[in-house]
Amino acid sequence: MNKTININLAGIVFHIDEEAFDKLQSYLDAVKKSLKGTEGNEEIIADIEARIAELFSERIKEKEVVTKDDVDYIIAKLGQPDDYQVDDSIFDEETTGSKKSNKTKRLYRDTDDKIIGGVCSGIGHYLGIDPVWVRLIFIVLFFGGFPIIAYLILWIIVPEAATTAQKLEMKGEAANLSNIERKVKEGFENVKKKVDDFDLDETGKKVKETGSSFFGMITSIVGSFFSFLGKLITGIFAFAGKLIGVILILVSFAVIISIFITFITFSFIDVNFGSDIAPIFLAESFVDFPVWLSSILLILAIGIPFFMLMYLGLKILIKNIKPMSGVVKLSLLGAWLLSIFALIFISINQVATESIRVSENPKIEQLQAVDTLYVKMRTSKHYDRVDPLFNIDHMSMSYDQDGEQILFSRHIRFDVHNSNGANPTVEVSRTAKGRNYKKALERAQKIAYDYELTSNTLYLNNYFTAPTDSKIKAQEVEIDLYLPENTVIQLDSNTANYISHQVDNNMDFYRKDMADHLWKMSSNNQLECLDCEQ
Amino acid sequence: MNIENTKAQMRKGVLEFCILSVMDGQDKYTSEILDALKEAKLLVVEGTIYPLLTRLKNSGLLDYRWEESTSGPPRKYYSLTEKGREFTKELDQTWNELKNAVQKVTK
Repeated sequence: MNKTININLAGIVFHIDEEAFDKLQSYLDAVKKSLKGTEGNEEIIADIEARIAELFSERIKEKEVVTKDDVDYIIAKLGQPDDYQVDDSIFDEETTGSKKSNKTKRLYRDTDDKIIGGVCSGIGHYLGIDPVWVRLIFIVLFFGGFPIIAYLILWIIVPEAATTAQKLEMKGEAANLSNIERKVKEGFENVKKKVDDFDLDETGKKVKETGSSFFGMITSIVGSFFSFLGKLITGIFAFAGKLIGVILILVSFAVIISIFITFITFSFIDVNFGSDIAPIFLAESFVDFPVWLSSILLILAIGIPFFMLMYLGLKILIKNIKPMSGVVKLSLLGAWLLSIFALIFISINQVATESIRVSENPKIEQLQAVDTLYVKMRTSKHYDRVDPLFNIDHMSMSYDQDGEQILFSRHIRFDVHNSNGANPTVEVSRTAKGRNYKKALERAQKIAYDYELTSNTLYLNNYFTAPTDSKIKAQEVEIDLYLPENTVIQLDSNTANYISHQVDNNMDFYRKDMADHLWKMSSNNQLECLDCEQ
Repeated sequence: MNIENTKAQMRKGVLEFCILSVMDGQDKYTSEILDALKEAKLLVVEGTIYPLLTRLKNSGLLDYRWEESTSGPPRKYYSLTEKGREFTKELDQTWNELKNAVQKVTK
């Protein structure tokens, strides 16, 4: 069984089978090429087509369809494409001398033998080597990144060998470097050519043909202009379309790759970021759901749309790309929706676990009445080295003295108040959030915080810890210092980062500026600076 | 030196003259011209003739008109123009001189 095609030769319709059609078309293409640059070549080709029609009509009396045999007969009778070339010496003064050998090989994409776009097999044909080697080189160099871009550019600018003639041309003679260069340049100039196709002479002729009619002239000019515009727009769109395709592929590819790299780096590999801990543990102590599950959901939610974009880009670039089956499309859509809903649920749940903020009853300790109280922060040799690169709510993760994972924070604030005549006291309150009061309170009570009191100095730890299973839920420690009037307080320079912004002072200093000064408690709950420059 | 090439050159040299001669006195359409030339073994394949006819026509030696055909596409009937007739006459003269010359030499 053979497919037949209807063709029109010199106004006569023939049924021709596919094989014969390919042969005839490549023959005519070759003849056209051979006659390129010959004077009146269009007329010659019309004559040749008329002759072919005549010969077909003679041969096809009974049967309906033109077959390959008929085409072979025609070619034998009319001669090879080279036979059409007239000896120039006969028409010496008339020949333009522009005839040249058209046997150069051209670079095409071989879509019959393709893995992605047929670029490698095309180059293989062009250089006369097996495409496998070209592919191998591309893959080896792939890790340099450049071949991906090179491949995409070649994909865009190198035309696909669509017709038989092009396929023959693709496998023609050996080529040299300058030809490759020319080919690449030609691809870039495609759009430009379309613009140049706007032939001014043609317009001029048309104007003349329509004669003296002014409107005819206008119509002709407008007509030419629009056909030019049409060509230009088609050209631009074709180019823009491919460009969009490439951008889609590049962007979505980059996103997908980076998602995977992020995922792998942050979850499977326990990299120590400086003295810090793998972010995965931090995430685990924050999210109430298993992190691996949340990560997979996140990958699906971001990855699927970008995968579809990449597929779209590929589809723009290659027309005959294998279509995605309905089942695959629906599964992807389903997986995407599922991941989105699951993420929404996880997010809501996450918010719900922080719905209430509870401070336990402060621990109150009496201080000895002193004239001057020194406040210093005390650091831990063990935790001092910890400088969290990643933190959530100022909280990060570390290892305790026994090498066990532990939550760690420097979220400490201290405030100074007037004790209204009473003895000085220090009050420590621990705060955390939770799904309900009880859980929040339990979490707050799990905070481990320590300070030390000597006769006239208060040493406050500049950190607190919490067990990992209590998770990061806005834990913090606040220290309130109650001092009788006229008590002097000396804030050590290392307290700078821990002074509450609520501390009222006569200098209008903000937080850390108050450190390293002497302050006196006034009657109106304000600290007055004793050693500040006015 | 390729003998086939030389033969082809010889044939090509007189082809133009022969085409014009075929049409002398009578209008011919492409197939008839081809048949006459093929019968005389001046032509192996038809391809060569088309560019020649077009060139002769464009040089004002030939003219053509269309005639409908019952069995195929419309036919292009070529005829000699006045210029073509004179051209042919002159070529005829040259050919006779050449023929004599060749005969004398090869005798």
